[in-house]
Amino acid sequence: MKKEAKTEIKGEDMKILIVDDNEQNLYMLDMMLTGYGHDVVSAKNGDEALHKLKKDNFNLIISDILMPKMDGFQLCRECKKDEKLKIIPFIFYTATYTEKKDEEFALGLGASRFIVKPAEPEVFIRIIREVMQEADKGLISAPAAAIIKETEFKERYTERVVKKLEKKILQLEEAKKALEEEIAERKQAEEALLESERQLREAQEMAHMGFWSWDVKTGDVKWSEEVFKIFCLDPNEFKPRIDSILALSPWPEDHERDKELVRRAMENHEMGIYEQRFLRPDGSIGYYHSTFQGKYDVNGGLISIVGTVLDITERKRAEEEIALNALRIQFLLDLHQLAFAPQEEILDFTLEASLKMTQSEFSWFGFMDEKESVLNIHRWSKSTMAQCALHEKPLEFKVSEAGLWGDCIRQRKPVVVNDYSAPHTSKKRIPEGHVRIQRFLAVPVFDEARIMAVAAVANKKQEYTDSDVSALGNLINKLWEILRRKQTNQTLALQARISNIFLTTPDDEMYNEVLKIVLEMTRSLFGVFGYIDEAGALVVPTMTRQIWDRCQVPDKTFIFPRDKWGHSSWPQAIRGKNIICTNEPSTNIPVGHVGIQRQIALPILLKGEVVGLFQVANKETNYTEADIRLLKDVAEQVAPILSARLRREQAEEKIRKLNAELEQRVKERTAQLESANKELEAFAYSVSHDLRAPLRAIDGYSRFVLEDYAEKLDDEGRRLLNVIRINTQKMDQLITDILGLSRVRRTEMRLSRIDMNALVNTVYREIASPEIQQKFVFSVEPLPEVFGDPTLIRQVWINLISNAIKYTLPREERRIEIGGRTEGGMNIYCIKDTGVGFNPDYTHKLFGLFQRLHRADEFEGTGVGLAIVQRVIMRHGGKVWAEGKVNEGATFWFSIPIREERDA
Amino acid sequence: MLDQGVVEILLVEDNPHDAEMAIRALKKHNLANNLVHVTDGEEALDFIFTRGAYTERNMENGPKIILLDLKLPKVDGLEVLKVVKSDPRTKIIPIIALTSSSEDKDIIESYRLGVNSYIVKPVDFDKFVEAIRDLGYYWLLMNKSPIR
Repeated sequence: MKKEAKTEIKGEDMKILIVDDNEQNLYMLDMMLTGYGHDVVSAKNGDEALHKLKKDNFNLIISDILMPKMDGFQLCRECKKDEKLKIIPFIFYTATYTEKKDEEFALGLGASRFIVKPAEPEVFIRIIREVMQEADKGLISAPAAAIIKETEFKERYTERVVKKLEKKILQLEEAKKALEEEIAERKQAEEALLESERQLREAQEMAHMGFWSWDVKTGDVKWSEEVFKIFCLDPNEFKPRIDSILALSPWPEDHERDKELVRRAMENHEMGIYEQRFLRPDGSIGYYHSTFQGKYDVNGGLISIVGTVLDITERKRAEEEIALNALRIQFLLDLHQLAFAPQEEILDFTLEASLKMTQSEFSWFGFMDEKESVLNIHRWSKSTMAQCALHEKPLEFKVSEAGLWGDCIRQRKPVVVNDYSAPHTSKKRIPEGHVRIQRFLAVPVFDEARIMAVAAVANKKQEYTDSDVSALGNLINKLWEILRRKQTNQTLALQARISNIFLTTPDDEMYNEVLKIVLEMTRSLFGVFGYIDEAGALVVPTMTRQIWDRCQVPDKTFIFPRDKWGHSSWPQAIRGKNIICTNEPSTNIPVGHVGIQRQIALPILLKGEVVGLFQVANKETNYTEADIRLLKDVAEQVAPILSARLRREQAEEKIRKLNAELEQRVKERTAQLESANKELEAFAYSVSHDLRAPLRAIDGYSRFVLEDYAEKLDDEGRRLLNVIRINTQKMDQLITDILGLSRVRRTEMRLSRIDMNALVNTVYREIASPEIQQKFVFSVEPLPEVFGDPTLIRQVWINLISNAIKYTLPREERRIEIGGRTEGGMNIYCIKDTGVGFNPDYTHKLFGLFQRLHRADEFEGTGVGLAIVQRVIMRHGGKVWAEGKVNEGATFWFSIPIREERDA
Repeated sequence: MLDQGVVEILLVEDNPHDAEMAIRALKKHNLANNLVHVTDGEEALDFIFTRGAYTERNMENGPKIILLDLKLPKVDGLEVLKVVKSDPRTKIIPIIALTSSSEDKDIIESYRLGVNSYIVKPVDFDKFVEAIRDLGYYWLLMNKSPIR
């Protein structure tokens, strides 16, 4: 290579004439030879070359063959004819004359080489070098003798040229043909181009891609049709400007970002890419993808910007939908996780979640009552609360008066309203200050067939779709599921706690303990738990200390008689058997009473009757359906026990009262009896002493008369005095009997076991003299033992046996039979005689005091004996009865209950 | 006067008729020879303990037996009984209670206080005489030797 390089340098000072009619060829050769350090002169034809050859000295001639005016062959011939020029090496360089005969002709003219175009520069240079070395050695070929001759030259020259022309024509025809073919092809290509352009346009349309450009100099902004389409603008009316596209996104936060993005792209001459939302003329939001690229001049000045706009609204929607669905699922999961959080927290979360899940502005949630007639708004979302200017935010809505949301209860399915401003049959007038509704969605929550609650959202920016309905439905159903489970758990726990109280707490503390729980669960400050007593009064055995201590009402009481109930909420609740729940401060509160900001008064019902009352007050937040439900649960559980307790308390109270009364009565009666007894004793004493003294005097002094004046008295006188004496003795007997009776009444019984057979026999022997006994057949069966007062029972037998003797003595057959048996828990004894008997019509008079069925001159007696018998037997808890007929004897029975010693 | 001599029987009886009948009954059996009759408990105690109107009397002179009606004005018969029976000088004097009724709860009380016997004053005078006779003899005879 280095060796070659030397030779190259050696040839630097060569002056070369190049001859070609084609400027491009000249240029190419010039560039190449100059590049190798040669001095190059060019000529456009043989004529010009000959002129230049004659003026200047050249080391080498390189010539084309086919040239106007004088071609290469003629030039070569002229040079070789010239003595001065014929030593300059001559190289043909041709694209046209390429045949062997052309080369032979050329070499015959005295040319050194014949090079066919195109030749590689290296080959060309190598040939030049060979020619120059040959020339140095004097080896310049002389023209062939034949060619030198004019005719021969012309002949051969013509032949070559004609041939060349023919060939050229042929070539031209071919070229023409090729051209025609090419034209046809191009047409096809053009058509294909048009087609592909159309396809491109269609593709743009389909891809929602548009192009735009901005020429900085002219200020022209061009939008493709699709750009107008994407931005929903009319190409005939809208004149785009460079800032038009960005102006379609009127959100300040987006502006900053866009500006920064454009600035950076321009500064760095980079392609700008961004995604942006835009506002359509109809107010809806779309999204586009934008690319743009600046074109700059050599100095870096901006010439133009071109860009594309791609409508990605659908993609964004899809992405948003996916994000929204993910969000919805996340909310459902979060809600599930919240299952053990406080209920308020769960509801708050659900409300805010319902907003986000449906992309709404407002939401609320309400529970239906049991009849599905009233909806209690549990809670408004914070945004609703903040925006609703209504002074009183009502919590209770009647379905019958409800507007559109009522439809979801009436129709039992979700209600979607996307054109709220349009007339709707169910729509009600919205109160002044109420949040403005544009779109609305309400979903009912079912528990089996019953609608339990309604959730509603409003004012989504786009229309509510089925996916919103199902999302809200899912959320609310999940909420309900949690609430229900929570409620069940809560109810169970509550029931357990209360049951435990019932089991372990003394009666008087039960009220307190239950109230404590109720206050705790409803987060209330004050409370009342009472029952309705027998008289219909409300009795409050418990009351929170605060309320009691702070209450400065005169006549503070735990018992509220029905006629003093007044018209505050709790009596209304009891009278109406309905729950009163208000979150408004009470106005009709007595002076000194603690203030009531909000309260629930709930009558405790059992089988439709009010048995008690719960009242809770002053929770820090509003009372809700949940509080009411909780109170209801407790009330349900408490009611039967309250009632049972109540009944028991009432019964106990009754018994206490009765006992107290009885005790009082016993006391009074005892006092009366004691005083009566004392009187009786005094009377008896008086009778036995004071009544007897005169009798004794009458008898004694009669006797003194009979003794001291015997001789002065005749028989009649003595008889009269004796009548006096007999009557005084009767009187004495009467007194004795009355005293006996009174003794039966008042003496204390001293019970012991009595051998009745022994007693009967003893008594008989005592009262019947041997003479009398002789006259009688007296028989005694084995008698059951009895538990009684021996003295009194003895008196019974004395009276009965002496009666039997007395009334049987006059008869011819004198029998007395005494018997006894045990029957039905009683010992029954009888004494049967064969005496004069009695008229059974007067049986009822037998046992009356001083009642006698016989005349005094028939039988002695005071009419006290049987009365004493009856008294004694009655005091022993038994009965006396008798049977008899006149002249057919009499039978007396008495019974005494069998008693064990320990009963005494 | 009787005051000076030995008193056999002190009859304490406020009812003059009863007293008369008692004395008559005693007389029938010659028991009323040395009999003093007082009409109330206070006088009875004065007599027994030689007080008041009876300070001149010697306690040594009896009485040998006291017939005491339980129902008396001023000092009650039971009170008299109690005082006499609780004084060592007089407690050996037999006291026979007189009562209108055998059911009288005072009889039980009088036994508790140391009465020696009792007589129910029957309406039938004959029976009274019998009772006086039986008891009078018994106690007067019984008490002869110890007192002496």
